[in-house]
Amino acid sequence: MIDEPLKELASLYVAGALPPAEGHEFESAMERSVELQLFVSDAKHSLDAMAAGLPRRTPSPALKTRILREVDSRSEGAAPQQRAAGFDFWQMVPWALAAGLTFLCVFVAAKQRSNALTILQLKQSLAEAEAQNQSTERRTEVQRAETLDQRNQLNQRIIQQITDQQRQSAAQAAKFVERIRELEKRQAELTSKPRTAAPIPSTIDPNSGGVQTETVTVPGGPFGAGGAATFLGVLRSTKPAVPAVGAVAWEASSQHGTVTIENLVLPGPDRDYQLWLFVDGVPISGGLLRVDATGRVQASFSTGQKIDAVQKFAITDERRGGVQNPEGEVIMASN
Amino acid sequence: MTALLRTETEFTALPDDAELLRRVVERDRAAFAQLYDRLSGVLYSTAVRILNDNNEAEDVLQEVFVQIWDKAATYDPRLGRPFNWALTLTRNRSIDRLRSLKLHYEFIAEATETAQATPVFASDAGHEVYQREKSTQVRRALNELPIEQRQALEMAFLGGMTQNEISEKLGQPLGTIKARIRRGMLRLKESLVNWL
Repeated sequence: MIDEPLKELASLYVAGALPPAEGHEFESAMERSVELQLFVSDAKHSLDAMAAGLPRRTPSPALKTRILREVDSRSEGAAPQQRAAGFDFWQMVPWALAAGLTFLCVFVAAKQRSNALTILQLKQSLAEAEAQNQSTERRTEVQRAETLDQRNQLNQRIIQQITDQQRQSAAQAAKFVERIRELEKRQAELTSKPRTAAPIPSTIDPNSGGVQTETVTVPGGPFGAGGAATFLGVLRSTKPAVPAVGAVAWEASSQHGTVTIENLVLPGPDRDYQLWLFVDGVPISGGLLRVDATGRVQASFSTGQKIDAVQKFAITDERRGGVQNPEGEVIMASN
Repeated sequence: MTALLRTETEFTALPDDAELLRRVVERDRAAFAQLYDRLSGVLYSTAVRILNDNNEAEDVLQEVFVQIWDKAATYDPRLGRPFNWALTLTRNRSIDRLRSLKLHYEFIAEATETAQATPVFASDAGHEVYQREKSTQVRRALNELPIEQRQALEMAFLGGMTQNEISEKLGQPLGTIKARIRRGMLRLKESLVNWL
């Protein structure tokens, strides 16, 4: 039941006569009363009906034409835009969100598909790269094996060639030793009397006339090529009690030499035998000699210097490790 | 009264204002034109009564109908019929224009005595006849109101004046103005109960 003061307030509110502040208070009260809401609604319609009771006036016919023309122009262009910018905005929000979500989904799906394609392409590229790598590795392995095989074959050929040369040198040296022995035997038979050995100097003196130099030159010999010389020297012991005998060959073309000695006593403690080649009166070391248990020396040597001609060979007893220039006693020398 | 009610029933086959407004939402130009024919007379009369100027009233009416075309989708049936909505738009725009022109509402005591004939449109003749009957009944109810009550109601409703402004304008106590508005509202409501 609405009392009279509230009806008065409602009437003033419907008529629009309440000041704004009181109007807001009434609206708050109206929200809590359905009965008051119905009263206000009826009162408002009654007041609206009052407009229908006003003296009826008719607008000019041109007004309708103007309004319809404006409405037509809005329908063609401006109106939809205004509607879109007005209330339609909020109505379009869900659609915009849906469209955005759809676009996002499509974008994500497209991105995933793109990524999947990229991954697939990368996998294919990786597989191809791995296959190519494996193929390359196989080829490299084959080439490495072939190269190793070729290198081994080359090494074997080189070793074989060196070995053959060493054998030839040793064989030639052995022939000279054999020949020397035969000559000594024949000389002994012919003289049939004891032979006095020539004095052998205790130190090397290449210019000394006391040492007979009998270096044999073999042009185009087995070690040489194209006419290069091979120098041979027969090594004899400088001490008559020592039966050592040997031969040295130096091939100028290969700058390589071979020495063979038999019946040589072992060097003393901390001592080494050292081979020397005399070139224009200057001793050049041919290296240290290793004597085996039978007193035999069989070795090849080089000097590190280019030697085209050798006048004399000698072996000295030096301190262990050898020396730059001969210091010790000469135990063997060539003629 | 019975005859009038039967008359309203006979015209229910015609599309009501709400249906026309719904079609306006769908950009139905013909429905919009029909709605104009139905409402323009009352709305224009209201605007003229507030502004007391035909040209200004036409401008207001043009703005109102363009607004109806643009904002038809915002119409809320719970707040009344399309007529009530259109009348509110017209009243508010007219009062705003009145204020922008720095004019004041002038109550015309004999307004209800000078009604003009309303043209009847062939396409909407039945509806117009019904409206005319309704207007006659409303006018009779208004004429039965004491002039001071109708004056207070019109100054508030059509002039946009507050109770204090009316009190000041008429030189009457505020309580008197409140009582006039209350009594006029209740009497009008009782008189039109069968037409609302």
